[in-house]
Order: sequence, then structure tokens, then C-alpha cells
Amino acid sequence: MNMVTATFFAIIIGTTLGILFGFILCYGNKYVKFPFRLYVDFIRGIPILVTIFSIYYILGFLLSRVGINLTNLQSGIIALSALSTAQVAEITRGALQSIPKGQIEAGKTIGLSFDKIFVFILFPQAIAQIIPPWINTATEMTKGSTLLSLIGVPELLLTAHQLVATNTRALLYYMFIGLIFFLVNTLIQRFGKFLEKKASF
Amino acid sequence: MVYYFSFRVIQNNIGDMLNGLGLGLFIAVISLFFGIILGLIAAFAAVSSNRALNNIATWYTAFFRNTPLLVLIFIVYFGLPSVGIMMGRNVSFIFTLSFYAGAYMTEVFRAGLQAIPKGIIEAGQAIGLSRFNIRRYIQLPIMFRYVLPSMSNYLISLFKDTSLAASITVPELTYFARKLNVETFRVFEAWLTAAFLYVVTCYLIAYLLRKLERKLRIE
Repeated sequence: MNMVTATFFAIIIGTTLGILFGFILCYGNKYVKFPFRLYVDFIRGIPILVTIFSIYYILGFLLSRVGINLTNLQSGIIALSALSTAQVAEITRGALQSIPKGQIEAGKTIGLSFDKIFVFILFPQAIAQIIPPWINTATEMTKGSTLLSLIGVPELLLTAHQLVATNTRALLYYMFIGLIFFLVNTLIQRFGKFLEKKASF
Repeated sequence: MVYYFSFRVIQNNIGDMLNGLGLGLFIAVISLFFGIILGLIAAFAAVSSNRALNNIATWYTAFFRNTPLLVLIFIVYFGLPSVGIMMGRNVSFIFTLSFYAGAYMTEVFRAGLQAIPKGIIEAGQAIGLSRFNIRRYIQLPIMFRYVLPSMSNYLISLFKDTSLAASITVPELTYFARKLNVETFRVFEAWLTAAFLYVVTCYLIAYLLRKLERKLRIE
């Protein structure tokens, strides 16, 4: 069950923050963009496993000095959220930049303020572009949740691993787990195609 | 809050970490090589007119892309010995990663093959080339130009996936970082060095591959 919780929270937090970051990356000025750019490039440049371990150990160390003790699950969710934020930020930035400038100018001609322009004109068009790569990110988050088993979060893969240690039918257990993940991810992909159809009239 | 940052620790272990980095690069390149072979076969199977081949290729791609890499690694390394197929750590990881890479390469090659205009293939048939020769002299060179950017992107991604080898104790960079962390409790030095090495290597690979692309783009 923990797999679902971790993935769910990571996707939700990641998407929300990611869209915000992407917006800043696309429209911010040089000084505001810089820390976000650094963050996104750094997280996307290191392997997921290294991110998970780093956040688990470094954040755990820092926070334990202050007195807050993070559970394994919480560190895992923070790590996965950080990763998905970076990815969604890139996706959003790409989508927003690909909308022709004429749209913004048309909005200004009508007399809309920038936030109204964003909500009514830019965002709906960006959504259609964001959805396919976002489904990809959702799939990667599900696959990433298996990595949390390496920091001891009691999730699907770790449970299978423990069962294998008490049994001789290793292959069967792992293939069964593999099948479950395969089905879950296939469902996510189908859902994504459904969203795509709805988003493009 | 006091933390004594110590460079000594990094100095003592940098040799091991660089060895691990080299092994990771090596594994990535070899897996990409086998993955390209598998991907080519599967891509031609996916666009062929044979229904059965189409289905096999599609299932292969879907299975290896939707299943987490860690699960695949465990299946191959822990599961296969119970049916008699035994491989060492490094070999089993390269085996798994090759199939994984092959699934992604199939998608890339399939898109490349479908982007070739039909007219060129018909011209080849008009000259009288056999189907195999058409593939070899017409489709492959054109497709190669198309897929090079995606492939270079994918090599970087594959290199980052090699860090999962640490979970079956292949002596890779992540494995040494974790070992350093657990032995000396110096969290910052261990993980920041590892992260720094990964980022620098990824940037280097990206830079070199971009130069290669630019060179090959001039016809």
C-alpha cells in the first residue's frame, strides 16, 4: 500500500510545484530564473537512486540535529517529489514556450491583464502539450517508488524481496511483482491516451 | 550545529569512486551496443507486415518500458538461477540493461523507419535491390541520421540508470558512495561528491555528443 501513497503524493506535489517552477523558468527575469535553473539541471543530472539516498541521509542528518525525525517514507516522498518537480518544470517550460507569441499579444489587445491571459489563453493550450510527457513522468514515478525499497520503505518490491528470502520460488514472486507493475503502468498509459483525446478537440 | 567538513575522506576514496564511474560508463556503452542490436531487430519486426512479429515486438517494448528497472534486475539476478540460468553480477546487470535499452531503442528506430518517405524505398525496389539490401543501403543510413539525437540523449539516461547496479553490489559509483557514507557517516562528502561526478560526466557526454551531431549533420 505504501507504494501507492508514495507515488500519489509525489505526483501531486511534484505536479503542483513543477508547474509553478516551469512558469517561473519561462517568464522570469535572469536573476529569478537562476536558482530554479540550477535546481532543475542538478536534479535531472544525477541518477534517481543518488537523489533518494542523498535526501534520505543529508536531510535526515540536518533535521535530526534540529530534532525532527523523518520516517523512511517521508524522505522517500520528498525525494520523489523533488524529482517530479524538476521534470514537470521542464515539461511546462517547453509547453509554454511553444505557444506562439501572438496569443499573448492578442490577449493584451483585448485588454486582459497578464494573469487573466495566463489562465484563459495560455494554460489551456499548454495543457494539451503537457499531458503526454506528464504521463511519462507519472510512469517514472511509479517505477521510482520501487527504488524506495532500497532505503527500507516497506513497499511492494521490498515485501517480495523478504518473501523470496523465506522461499525457494524466487522467480515466481518477482515475475508476479513485475506483472503488477506492468499492469499499473499500462493502465496509466491508457489513462493518458484518454486524457489526450479529451484535451485535443 | 557543528559539522567538520573533511577533505581527507574524499581524497582517500576518490580512486575507488572514479573506478566506479569508469565501470558505470563501460556498462552503459556495452548495454547501449547490445540494445541497439536488439532494437534494430525489434524495430524491423514492428514495422513488418507479419502480424505475429508486430505483436511480439510491441509486447517486448511495452513490457520492458513499463516494468521498473529494479524489478527487472532482481528477476534476472535473483530469479533466473532458480531455473538454472546463473550469471555473475556484472553480466546479469549488463544483460538486463541491454534488454531495457533495446525496448527504448525499438521505439526510437521505429519512429525513424516510419519517417523515411516511401518513394525512396520504391526507388530501391525499382533498381532491383533485394529486401535485405534495401534495408542495408537505404533505410539504415537515413534512419541513422534521424535517430542520433535521441540516441545520445538515451546514452545519458542509460548512464544514470547504471547507478541501480549498486543494489546488487556491482562496484559502481553509487555503491562506493553508499559504502563511504555508511562507513564514515560523512553524508555531505560522500553524496555531494557522487552527485558532482555524475553531473559533470553527464554534461561532458552531452557536450561531446552534441559536437558529434553537428559534425555528422553536414552532408
